[in-house]
Amino acid sequence: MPFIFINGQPYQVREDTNLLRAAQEAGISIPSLCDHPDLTPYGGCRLCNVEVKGLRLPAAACMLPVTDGMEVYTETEDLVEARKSILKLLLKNYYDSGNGNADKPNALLKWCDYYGVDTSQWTRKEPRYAIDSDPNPFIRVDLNKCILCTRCIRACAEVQGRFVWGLAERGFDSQIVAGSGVTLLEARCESCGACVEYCPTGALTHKPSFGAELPEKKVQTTCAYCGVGCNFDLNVKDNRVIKVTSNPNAPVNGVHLCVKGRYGYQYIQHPDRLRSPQVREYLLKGMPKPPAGESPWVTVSWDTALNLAANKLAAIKRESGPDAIALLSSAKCTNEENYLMNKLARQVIGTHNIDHCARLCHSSTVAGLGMSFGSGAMTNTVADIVEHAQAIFIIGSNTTEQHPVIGSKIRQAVLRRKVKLIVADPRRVDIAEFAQIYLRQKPGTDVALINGLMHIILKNNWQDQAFIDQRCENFDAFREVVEKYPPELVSKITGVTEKDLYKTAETLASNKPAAVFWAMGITQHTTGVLNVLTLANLQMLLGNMGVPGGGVNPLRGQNNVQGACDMGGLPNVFPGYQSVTNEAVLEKFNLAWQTTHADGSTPPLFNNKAGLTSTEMIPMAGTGKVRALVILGENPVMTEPDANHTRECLEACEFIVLQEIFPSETSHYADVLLPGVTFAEKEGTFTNTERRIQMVRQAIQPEGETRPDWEILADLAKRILAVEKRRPTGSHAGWDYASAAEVMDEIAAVTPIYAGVSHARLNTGAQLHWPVKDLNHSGTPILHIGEFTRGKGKFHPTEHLDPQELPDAEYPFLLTTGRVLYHWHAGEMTRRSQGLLDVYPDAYIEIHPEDAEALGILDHQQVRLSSRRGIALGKALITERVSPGLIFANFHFAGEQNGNNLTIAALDPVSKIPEFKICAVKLEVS
Amino acid sequence: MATPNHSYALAAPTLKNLEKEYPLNVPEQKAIIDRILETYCDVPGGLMVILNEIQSRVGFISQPVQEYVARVLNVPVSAIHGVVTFYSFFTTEPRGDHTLKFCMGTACYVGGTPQLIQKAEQILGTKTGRTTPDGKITLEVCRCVGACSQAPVVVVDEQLYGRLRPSKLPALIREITKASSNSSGE
Amino acid sequence: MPFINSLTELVHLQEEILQRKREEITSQPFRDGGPEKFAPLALRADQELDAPRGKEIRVVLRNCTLIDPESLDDYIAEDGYQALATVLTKMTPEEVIDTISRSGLRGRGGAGFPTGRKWQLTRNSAGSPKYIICNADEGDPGAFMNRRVLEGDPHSVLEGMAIAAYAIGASQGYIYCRAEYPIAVRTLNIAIQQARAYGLLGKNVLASGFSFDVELRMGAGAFVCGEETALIASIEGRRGEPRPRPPFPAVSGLWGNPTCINNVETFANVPQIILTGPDWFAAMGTEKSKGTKTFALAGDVNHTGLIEVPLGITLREIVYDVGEGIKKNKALKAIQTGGPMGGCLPASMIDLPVDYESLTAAGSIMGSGGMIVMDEETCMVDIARFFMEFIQEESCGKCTPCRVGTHSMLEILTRICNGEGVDGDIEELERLCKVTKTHSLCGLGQGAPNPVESTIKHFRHEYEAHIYRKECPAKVCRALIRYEIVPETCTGCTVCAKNCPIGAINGERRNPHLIDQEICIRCGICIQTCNFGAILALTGEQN
Ligand SMILES: Nc1nc2c(c(=O)[nH]1)N[C@H]1C(S)=C(S)[C@@H](COP(=O)(O)OP(=O)(O)OC[C@H]3O[C@@H](n4cnc5c(=O)[nH]c(N)nc54)[C@H](O)[C@@H]3O)O[C@H]1N2
Ligand SMILES: Nc1nc2c(c(=O)[nH]1)N[C@H]1C(S)=C(S)[C@@H](COP(=O)(O)OP(=O)(O)OC[C@H]3O[C@@H](n4cnc5c(=O)[nH]c(N)nc54)[C@H](O)[C@@H]3O)O[C@H]1N2
Ligand SMILES: Cc1cc2nc3c(=O)[nH]c(=O)nc-3n(C[C@H](O)[C@H](O)[C@H](O)COP(=O)(O)O)c2cc1C
Ligand code: SF4
Ligand code: SF4
Ligand code: SF4
Ligand code: SF4
Ligand code: SF4
Ligand code: FES
Ligand code: FES
Ligand SMILES: [Mo]
Repeated sequence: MPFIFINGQPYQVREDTNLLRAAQEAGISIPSLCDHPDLTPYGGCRLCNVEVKGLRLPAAACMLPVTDGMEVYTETEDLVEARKSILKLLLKNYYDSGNGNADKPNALLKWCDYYGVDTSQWTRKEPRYAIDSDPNPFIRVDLNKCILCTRCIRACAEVQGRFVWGLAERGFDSQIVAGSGVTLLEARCESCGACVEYCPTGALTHKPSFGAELPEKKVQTTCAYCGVGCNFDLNVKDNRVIKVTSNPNAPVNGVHLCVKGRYGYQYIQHPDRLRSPQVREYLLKGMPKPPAGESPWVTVSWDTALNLAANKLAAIKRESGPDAIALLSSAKCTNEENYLMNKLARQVIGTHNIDHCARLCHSSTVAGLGMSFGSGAMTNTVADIVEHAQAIFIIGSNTTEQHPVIGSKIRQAVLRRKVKLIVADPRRVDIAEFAQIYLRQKPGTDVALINGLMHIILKNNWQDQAFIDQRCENFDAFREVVEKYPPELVSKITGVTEKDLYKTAETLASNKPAAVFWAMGITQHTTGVLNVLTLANLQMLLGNMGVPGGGVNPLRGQNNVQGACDMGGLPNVFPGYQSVTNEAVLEKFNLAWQTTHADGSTPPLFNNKAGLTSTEMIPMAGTGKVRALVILGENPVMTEPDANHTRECLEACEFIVLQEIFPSETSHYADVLLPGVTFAEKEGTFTNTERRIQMVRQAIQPEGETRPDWEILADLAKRILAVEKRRPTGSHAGWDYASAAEVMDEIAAVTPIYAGVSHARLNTGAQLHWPVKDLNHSGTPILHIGEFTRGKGKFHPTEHLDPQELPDAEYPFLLTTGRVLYHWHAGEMTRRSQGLLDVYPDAYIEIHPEDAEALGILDHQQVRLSSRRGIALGKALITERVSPGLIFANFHFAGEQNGNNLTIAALDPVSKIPEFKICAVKLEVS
Repeated sequence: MATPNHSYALAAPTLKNLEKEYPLNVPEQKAIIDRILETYCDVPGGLMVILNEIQSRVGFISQPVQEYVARVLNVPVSAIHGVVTFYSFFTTEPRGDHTLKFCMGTACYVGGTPQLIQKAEQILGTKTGRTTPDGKITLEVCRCVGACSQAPVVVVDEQLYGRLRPSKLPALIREITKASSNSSGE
Repeated sequence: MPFINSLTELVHLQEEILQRKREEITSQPFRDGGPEKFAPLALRADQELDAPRGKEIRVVLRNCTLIDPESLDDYIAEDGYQALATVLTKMTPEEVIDTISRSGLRGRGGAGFPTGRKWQLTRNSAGSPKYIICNADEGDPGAFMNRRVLEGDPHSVLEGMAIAAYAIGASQGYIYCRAEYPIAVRTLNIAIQQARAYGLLGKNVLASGFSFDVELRMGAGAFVCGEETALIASIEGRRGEPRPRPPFPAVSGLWGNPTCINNVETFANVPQIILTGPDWFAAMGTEKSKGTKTFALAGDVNHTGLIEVPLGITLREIVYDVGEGIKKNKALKAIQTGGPMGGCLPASMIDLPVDYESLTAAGSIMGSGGMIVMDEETCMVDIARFFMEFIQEESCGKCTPCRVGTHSMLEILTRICNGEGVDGDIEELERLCKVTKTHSLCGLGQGAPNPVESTIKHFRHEYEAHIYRKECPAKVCRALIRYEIVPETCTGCTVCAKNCPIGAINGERRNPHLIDQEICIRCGICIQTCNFGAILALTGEQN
């Protein structure tokens, strides 16, 4: 470690660092403007110049490597004079139009203040550039404050990986510009706000909060959009969320965020929020149920609404048994709430009919990985992969749009570490731009594709035989099937050239460890489980399991879908994946949750058969087998396949309790509406895609009469128990929780993988990835080290199968559905956040230019898609992202614009996941 | 409120889209650019080589061309735009049929270039950095062409004229415009 | 085409060529004159490069105008590539470096860094491949020494590069040539192709196991790209922005690898040093500045053009012996050396020896070899303004002091020249000079204040005349002068009236003319065109 002298004092400093950083660490501040610890140094502003013994001229500390014995002086009279001059020079081109961002410190003005430079005397008196010169709804550009430090350029390139900003012209005319001198969005800006976050002067500011007052407090919490699990600070003033700011201590994302996390917060206090409980008038008047939506809503007290719901549910249970009731839990809600939902279903109602959107999402992953390894979750952390992987294989994940912060980390791994990136996706998604190899396979051919790669690997003897021999089983049966997938055949099935197949196999085999990422492109098929098994085979074959930088990494979608699964929001398992068919487990929960009936008896709480999946319970609601649905934070009308059928089923359902924050498409069919709260109004935990359990902290008081969801659930449970005259007598049977923390303590007590989790630990900053075996265990960032959860990893031979519905003469296009960066599923939240809708205002339908031309469709023209099940309207977006014959639609816009009007409810036989990714449609100009 | 942007980045401008949005106007131009790109796309650091070629063969590097090159090379267009605007040889707009480049290097400055420029601007009715309204002649200033011993120097297209006096300018310019109308077949 | 496999074969070939030439000469008495053959532009060898005068010695320029630059045979006839062959067959890289070090050769690109030491540093750096770059960006206005070498004797540069490559362990070289030099580019390309064809570049040169090839890259009009780190950025296809050193290119240069950058002239010296020996070279010049230096002598001397003189020669010897004195016998006012980052030395320093140390001590620099002689009709404030305008336009804009500092200085200088200077301007200039000089990132900004500082130092009275008396003693600054026709001398020839761009001169043919001072823009064209000296420039009191 080098020894250096700063201002005459000796210091021991880190090696491989620059003087600025070394001095900072030694507690000596050297003024700086263009430098930022996250970004590569630039050395442009010259404010950090210091005097170094032996050097003719002062040197920029931010770019000066420390060397042993170096003698530097950081604050000599000459330097102070020079800094004043430099600041004055910067001020000469600095024009302040007056209304800044109140709480973003302006580094230029700060240093002027520090060195006593009178800003009013030196600043420009009239603007040089247009103020607020870019139409991006999130990023406010005012180059009059720009000091050309290029931090924005480096942030966009090095943090977000988008390279929107650049420097144009030279010398005094230098100017930062977007792209080739166009608007930010035209230059493909993803509105992540990173450039703003790194701008030291306020030349770039957050437009939605421009001019906002100073916050009273900042509350660190976890993003409620996607499973990346970013943390940020909610800024609060007068019980209002006035903005989101980065929190550098955020464990997953640091100061980085995506557009939804940073700017998509306005829904929180949107006027449309449900603010008090409502019930249908017919219920109050004791009338028969009219057709859905016809009976008007009546605002009632919590007592009225909850009693009504409790009585009705108890009655249905009494009449038709507990399995006539089904519950949909919510991946948007906390672990604590999902645990309570699962307890409500199993203990109070006595049914395993509980499921949630994970069914539509990663149910095939959970099933498949369970079969292969014994655990259905992502095995490695993102930081681990980004740091250690030599290759990354992304298949069926639009990472930069759907898991944006992970997407930008992968971009960085490619840019900085030259990680080999392979992307396989029928759509040329953005991340493909960063790939060495991009494979455009035909939709629904992933088993064949992966088998084809493994065929080549085996043919060349590239497999990790030692790993296979020691840690896996059933290899020979698997090998036999893979034999049947030679490149010629695979190329024919998938449309990928043999050359690309070979190149991919070779890249994977020669760059280890390799991590595989996937998402809905793999899971949402009738072959979803087969797809997952095949990817598991690949990673075993290459010996990429249980190692840093490798693993199988399904990217979980919703903010807390991992947690909702962990908490037993599934029909076949109690919390912690304890099977409902396991007698010991049943025994355990019967004891823990025991209730005593009025007659003193304690009959078993539940049976030992898995309940209904969401894709089963809704059709069964249509047939009357399921008489009541209790839905927490989901919007099945929009998000289940074949929406017209879903509508029919819900129409037919006798009683629907919906706990929501907005009147949604589904609320049209509900009978009781219970107003829950957003993540900003409650306490709890989310578990991100990496199995990392993180705190959600209350920032504001609940809106109107709303109550935190966990309180509502506890209240409803108590009322049902009261109607049924049951007393909780088991060790964890009660519902009197004083806080969400207490719920977590109960979770820990009954859930081995969460045994060591508590709010107290999390609040002291512990980073816990389950399994967390006890309060002293530090969690498990990487799964299956040394041994798989199930013992040996099992190879499953898999065969290619055709999707359920392929294009034909009548419906000649293949439709695949999914999402876009700026919106969230059914859009209830994102369509209520200013700006998101400005950028992406319509249901765009991606069409290949050739198809558009053949049908005479123009860009942005209104078009109409129809399938055997319904129609969907939207605007044409003509792009080569899709291949000819392939159409991509989303499900972010309601009613006639919903892509799910078209999709098919064909299910994977094992996991019951619907084939959202493939059906046949017809395309017309409307 | 911001104007909604419908050409939203999601539809990353694909080649076909791009050509529609940023027409590379003349097909011959596209052919030339494609050939240049093909020849030099694998040269390490070849961007400068490519831009130099495009500048000299096409005559300018327009915004659509920048977008196009970025797309083909898979390089951020911001980087290309940065390079194009950094170097003074690259122009984003077409030049006139002929360029008159006045050397403003030290020797020529001292030797009387300012007077030459004044005279030329008067004769042509345009300013340095601009092109005459008929698109025939562009006036430019450069910094030393390395012929200082003949200061002041003017470069007409590739031809060098030294020891020029303002009084000789009218004849020189007459000659250029004559040559130009001949070559354009009028 | 001969493919040469050894030193012996090379010597044989030389013999053959010489024999052939002897025969040719007998059959055809005049060899046609060098450059015109390939240079249709109006560049004439004799205008630029005459027979040596005064103390001139030709080392770098020895072949220029003598050989046909498009003929490798011509070069071989003059012992071409024998230095390379000697090095490859008889010397270790260390010996080569030692020879260059002992010769005392210092970089001719400006800073004068010892070439042997630079090679050693690059050789010692870990990392491969290593690169050799020839800096042929020669951006200094008023300088064309490098161009002349490239156009007249390209192989000497290629041979020097190959020797350097051998010494440092490189196998790829780049020549970065400014786009303003199309002929140099063409000549170089021809030379490279020929050398490859003869086996003097490429794989396994002279069958020695050493491989070396050269690629030519063109700039695109950015002076700052002469700065080595900017040059590297430009070769990499980026904006030519310098970056702070360390790390020096010797450690981390092109694509992050060890890179040795030398000037054209530095390389051109190398073969001679190898062939004739370091002591011969070290015998020329001074204690610390060895060898010869080429200069582009321009401005108000009678004999302008390219010269090559031993270092240590005095300015007087250059101006009066080699340059044959000031034009029209006017008085010498100043000599500007070192290009836009150099300084203006007053006539009183005429006996200053021209070497790296002396020039720096006097407030100027050697630079790459531009030398502009200015007579009494030069306004030093205007010259300072001119250089600042150049620098300001060429600043890359990366660092604050240079980007804004030069702009601010230019603003003040322009104001002073426009007669709007105010009390305190000189002091403000001095302050700006100080911060720009000490705190800029690269040599451009660091050197930018030199013309201002040196003119303030030596010609402060001229600044004061502009600011306080609103007069331009040299009668150059338009706002401070006016032109008047002396009726007695005016012949009424009408030439001035015809040439006045705005028609400010009136008068009947054969009658004295009159300048309308309201309209006149002080362009000075009339005074240049008048053949009778009838027009006077007036300033200040006279005004
Ligand atoms: N902005 C935003 N982000 C989100 C969400 C959101 O709504 N909006 N939702 C979150 C949720 S819950 C989830 S589950 C994730 C989903 O994240 P992703 O799965 O990344 O998103 P999708 O758009 O559903 O589709 C993924 C990709 O699958 C491809 N695909 C289609 N068919 C096939 C096929 O047969 N094989 C393969 N290999 N690929 C195919 C599609 O082209 C698409 O690029 O996103 C999460 N993040
Ligand atoms: N065609 C097609 N359909 C799909 C998919 C596809 O790729 N293609 N993907 C499927 C997948 S992967 C998923 S995950 C599903 C998602 O399906 P859903 O989960 O049904 O979709 P969301 O729109 O996220 O619905 C969440 C609802 O919860 C509400 N909410 C948010 N926060 C809270 C809270 O704290 N408390 C309460 N009570 N409510 C809250 C929101 O207002 C919103 O209406 O969609 C599926 N549907
Ligand atoms: C602004 C600036 C311009 C320069 N221009 C040139 C140039 O045109 N040619 C050159 O050889 N060196 C130039 N240099 C010097 C180079 O950076 C470098 O020092 C030189 O090429 C090294 O070669 P040498 O050691 O042979 O002198 C310039 C330096 C600066 C700061
Ligand atoms: S918002 Fe993000 S993507 Fe857009 S320019 Fe800034 S850093 Fe780049
Ligand atoms: S906009 Fe901000 S971050 Fe970007 S260069 Fe200007 S001051 Fe720096
Ligand atoms: S990446 Fe996901 S978790 Fe992070 S800010 Fe965006 S939506 Fe929120
Ligand atoms: S000194 Fe001037 S040319 Fe050099 S880096 Fe700074 S701004 Fe650029
Ligand atoms: S100085 Fe120029 S404008 Fe004035 S009279 Fe002479 S020629 Fe005409
Ligand atoms: S902080 Fe070091 S130069 Fe700007
Ligand atoms: S200064 Fe004009 S050619 Fe050199
Ligand atoms: Mo999902």
